[in-house]
Parts: sequence; C-alpha cells; structure tokens
Amino acid sequence: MDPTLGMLKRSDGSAEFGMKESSVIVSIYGPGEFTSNQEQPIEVCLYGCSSPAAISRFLLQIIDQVILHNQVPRSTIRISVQTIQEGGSLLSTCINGATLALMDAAIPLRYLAAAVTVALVKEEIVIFPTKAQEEEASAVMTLVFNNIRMELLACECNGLWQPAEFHRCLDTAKTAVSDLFNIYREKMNKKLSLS
Amino acid sequence: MQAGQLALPGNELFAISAKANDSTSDQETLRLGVGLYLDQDENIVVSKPGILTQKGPQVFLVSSHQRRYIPNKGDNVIGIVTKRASETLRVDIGASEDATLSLLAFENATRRNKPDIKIGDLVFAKVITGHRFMDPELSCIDSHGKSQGLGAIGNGGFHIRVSLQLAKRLLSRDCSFLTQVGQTVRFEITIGVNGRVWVRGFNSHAAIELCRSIEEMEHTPDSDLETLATRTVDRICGF
Repeated sequence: MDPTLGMLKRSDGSAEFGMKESSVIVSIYGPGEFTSNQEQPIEVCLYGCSSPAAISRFLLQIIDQVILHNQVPRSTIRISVQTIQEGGSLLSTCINGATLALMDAAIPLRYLAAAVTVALVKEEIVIFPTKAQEEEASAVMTLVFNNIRMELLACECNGLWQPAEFHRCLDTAKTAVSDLFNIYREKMNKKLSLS
Repeated sequence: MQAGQLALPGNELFAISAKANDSTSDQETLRLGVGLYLDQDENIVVSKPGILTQKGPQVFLVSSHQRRYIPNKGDNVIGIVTKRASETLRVDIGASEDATLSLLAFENATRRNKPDIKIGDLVFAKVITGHRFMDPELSCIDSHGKSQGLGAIGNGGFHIRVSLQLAKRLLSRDCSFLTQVGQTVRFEITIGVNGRVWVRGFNSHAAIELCRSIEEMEHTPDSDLETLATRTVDRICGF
C-alpha cells in the first residue's frame, strides 16, 4: 500500500505504512518533557498486535541507534505504533513506519533505517512473506539496513539456514531495501513540494 | 548535493578535508546550520529531511517541515502560561520544555507591582536564551525596558496552532494575504514563530473565518493566495 505522512494533525509526526497483509500507523510526540522518573530518551508503545513486547524491544533498539541524541538532550521522544492489520512481516512494517514518522516529525537522525522480512520457503526466497508463508518457511529473517553504504544495522532470524542461503537473503534484502529508500525519498519530495 | 535539492538523513554533503583542499576557499570557515552535523570522520552529514539551503557562500542549512518548535534566541513566540510562582511564570511555547518568564520582565513591573497574569493566559514574548541544554527563557521587554508590542495577550480572540512553515510564511514580506484581507476587514493578529497564531476579529464570526482561512493556507500555493483572500472577505461579509 502507498505510505502516507502526516495524517494525524495533533501529533508532531505520523505515518501509515503497510506491506501485503500488515499495516501500521505510527505517531511520534517529541522531543518533549520526561513523563517518568526513569527519564528514558525514547518510549515505544505498541497497540493491537499479538506480541508487543518482542517487537517494541527490537524497535526501541533500532530507533535508539537512529536518533541523534546529542541534538535532542534532556528530552523524550514517544513513539506509538497502532497495528491496523496484523499479517506477516509485522516487525519490518513497524520499523519502516517508525522511520517515516520520524522523518515527518523532522527529528534529527543519524541515518535512515529500512527493514525487510525475508523468508526461506522450500529453497525459494520470499520478500515480505504473508503469515501463511511465514508458517511454512524454514527460516524467517528481518534485516534492517541504513542508507549510508547499505550497512546492516540489525537482524532477527528464526529457523534453520545454510550460510550460503543467508548471503542470498542478504543480497535479495538489499535490493528490496533500496526500493524502500526510493519510496522514502518520493514521499518526502511530495510532502515538501506543498510548502 | 546542490542547494535546493532534497536532503535526507544520512546523505553526505562533502568531507571538510576535501573542501579545505579546494584552493578557492581554504581560509573561510564553513558554518553549518540546522539539520547538518559533523560525524567522527569529519564528513558533513544531513540529520533532518528537508531542502538544502545555502544562505551565503559558506553557510548551509536544511529547511525542514515540522510542527515542533526549537527555541532560538531572538524569536518572538506566543506561549500559554502553565504555572505561576512568586517571581516567575512557566510558559508552554511548544518546545521540548516549558520556558521561564520572569514576572519582572514586563514593562513597568516592579517587585511590588507585578503583572496580573493567570494560568491559561497567552503571552507574546521574545526568546532570550535558546540553548538545547537549558530551559528556554523569555522576556517581554527589550534591553531598554520597553515592551515593543510584547506582553500579555488579552480580551478574547482565538488561538490556533499551525506549522512552523506557515507561521514564517505569514510573517514574510512577500505574503500579501493578511494585507489583502485587512483592506476590507478589521482584525488584530499576533503570529508567533513557534507556530501559534492569535486572531481577534470585529466579531467572533470574522475571527473564526480568518482562522479557517489561515489553516487552509497550509495547503494553498502562493499563486492561489489572492483567491483565498477574496473568498475569506466574502465569507466574513456574509456572502
């Protein structure tokens, strides 16, 4: 589906992103004041999905890497992810939605992150698998890249695979990710041409 | 990357060492504005998505579209008072932290004669310190002790939030929308650089129509502003 930016009027940044069967709306408030004594620089909240803890922990770590903390000291950035539809590849959908929302909010970032879920289904590589394909797959990997020299930021892999298969997945993922970065660029172009 | 192009976080401008080898500009200092930062390899990297702008031969910045205000010294902002202590006010200006405004920083204020500003009131103030490591500080007087139009905003009117870009546009000299509407309709307007606008019309209907038009301006290109202005005047006059 076509991602949209800035649909939520009250938040500082928002984005809707979806791939095949999953879609999320991400809303960003920040930089703002701390709400708890723990003074966390980033707070992530997930609504409407079946395994929020695992996804939010991964998302938090990626966003922690991506945000330039020294430009926004003594403040907190609150990220709320609302799952509209939960199918396969939910983790990568959340990461991509969060990156688009961070760009919409113009929060200082070190680089952009784009995530792809790749599944090995009977020796074939499937990008952004559906839930049915994920269940059939021998391995499911979520790979996150940045837009500086396509460096691998993080990966979460479940299943069994050969080293050669992993490298094939990496290469396939890189192609998909460069398409994603083009989509980000197109969306920002569209947003800024109206101002 | 050239000025006027879209810059996304992670894009590199150029390495400083490469620029220093350029014989035409080896003695001048490069000034990096908002949206650019120097990484550990001495590369100039973009941190905010926006349009790369060159303000001078050696001054670069990225102008991005955002709603959250980043305090800058010298900006005139509209704030809402959230707390009143004996000597200071805490004012919400839409930044990451509430700003402080001393009750003595008003025209003709003394320790015995402090202004009667309550929680929830609007103030139009100047940002005097806007460092990212500290609370922003505001003042309603200049260095000579004169208010110059700053101070509490009172007596009705409507207050709306707009994007920072729209506030800048309304304040720019090229924008004829307000002057055009003002030729037929009487109104009072205060625009804060932090994306807050306060409007008072000769009746509340006029003020509401003006607020609606200002919000519509967000999506209106400059070429259609004249039509928007005529439409606003028609709506206010009851057509």
